[in-house]
Amino acid sequence: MSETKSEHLTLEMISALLEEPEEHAESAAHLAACEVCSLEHSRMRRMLMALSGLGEMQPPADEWERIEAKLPRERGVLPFRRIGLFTGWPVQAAAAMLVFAGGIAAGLVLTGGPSGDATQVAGNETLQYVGEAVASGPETASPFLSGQYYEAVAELESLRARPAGSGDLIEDPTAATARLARLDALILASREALASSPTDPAINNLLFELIEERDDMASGLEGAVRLAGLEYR
Amino acid sequence: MEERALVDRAKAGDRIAMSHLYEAHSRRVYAVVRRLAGDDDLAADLSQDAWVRAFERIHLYRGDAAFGTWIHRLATNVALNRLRRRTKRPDVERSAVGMRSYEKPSDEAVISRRMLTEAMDRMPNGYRRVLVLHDVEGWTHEEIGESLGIAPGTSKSQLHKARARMRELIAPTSVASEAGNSLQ
Repeated sequence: MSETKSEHLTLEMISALLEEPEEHAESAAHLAACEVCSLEHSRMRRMLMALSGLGEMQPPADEWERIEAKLPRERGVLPFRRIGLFTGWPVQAAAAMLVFAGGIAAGLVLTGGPSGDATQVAGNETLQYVGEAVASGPETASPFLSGQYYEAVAELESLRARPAGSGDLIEDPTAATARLARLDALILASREALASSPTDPAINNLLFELIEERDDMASGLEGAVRLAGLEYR
Repeated sequence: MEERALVDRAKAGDRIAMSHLYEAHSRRVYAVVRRLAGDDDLAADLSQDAWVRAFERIHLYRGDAAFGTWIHRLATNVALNRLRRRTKRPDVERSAVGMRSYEKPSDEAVISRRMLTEAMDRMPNGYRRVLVLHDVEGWTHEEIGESLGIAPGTSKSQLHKARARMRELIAPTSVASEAGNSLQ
């Protein structure tokens, strides 16, 4: 076979032949007859072997010190308490409502009950917004995963659509605390789902997103507490 | 001490146990986030973030898989989620300017780890993510698709483009990289 440029396989095709030679019979036949492409094929294979053999890497020397400095100082300290929430009077009142709303929200999530408009908007667009990683859904079929997973994703989207901030807490503490309660309930349900499917990437991602959202909201509320303290002094 | 016991102590807030767990798995965790990040500074942030989250949420770890598997997966998720949020950053190939130079390999030359790392660092983020997850971490296209929110077929085509670019970055003078049309 001649070896003019136009007859050689592209690198992409050589890669495809390494994965699925049976899918590309014509190119595979060319590869068997062409020395140039054969050589490139073996080079590509060697590169892949080198990639698969890449080992561990040394982290920065002071990494552990940095990690340790960020860890909670007390055993079992929750993020809310660590950042000083539930200390001012506006938040103490809100916290009481949080417990109440949390109970209701947890009940709704865990029993699969109605959860408002958010449960009805679990379309592709919503899922995409919440996170591509969770859009394709869980890989197993526990009751939570088959039913409430998409509701939980839609709930998260709905909660994110109303940004947390000081205005919420000052003007509508009930809504703000209900949102926190809802997030806590979703986190609880996700954790229980993980008990039966601990390595499911979709549930893991959903849980991370929920926790991040709750932490963000907690930070927003912390700002609200400070603002309220200044206003009512 | 057995790892299970270390985990139990870490759950109780024991910093010494945490440091032992960190010591045992930090290099593997750093490797995956460094390769996904393509950048030392970002990788340092991601790795640190992953470990802090792991210890803050270690009560979620129930021992169904090895701790090393759990923290590795958690770190990968942390990195992918953070990288997904950095969508404003243009996903373009980085210039070689300012990079350390390396020798281009001859046909028989060993492909060094540094050569691979520097080539991966230069690749667009999308290519790098798929290449690292498939060819380094051994994920399937289905797993990659699920995690990145793309179709398995998209993952596959991205992988072939990424490998081709990687091959060119490692050995720009290779004959096939100069070839013109393909058969298909």
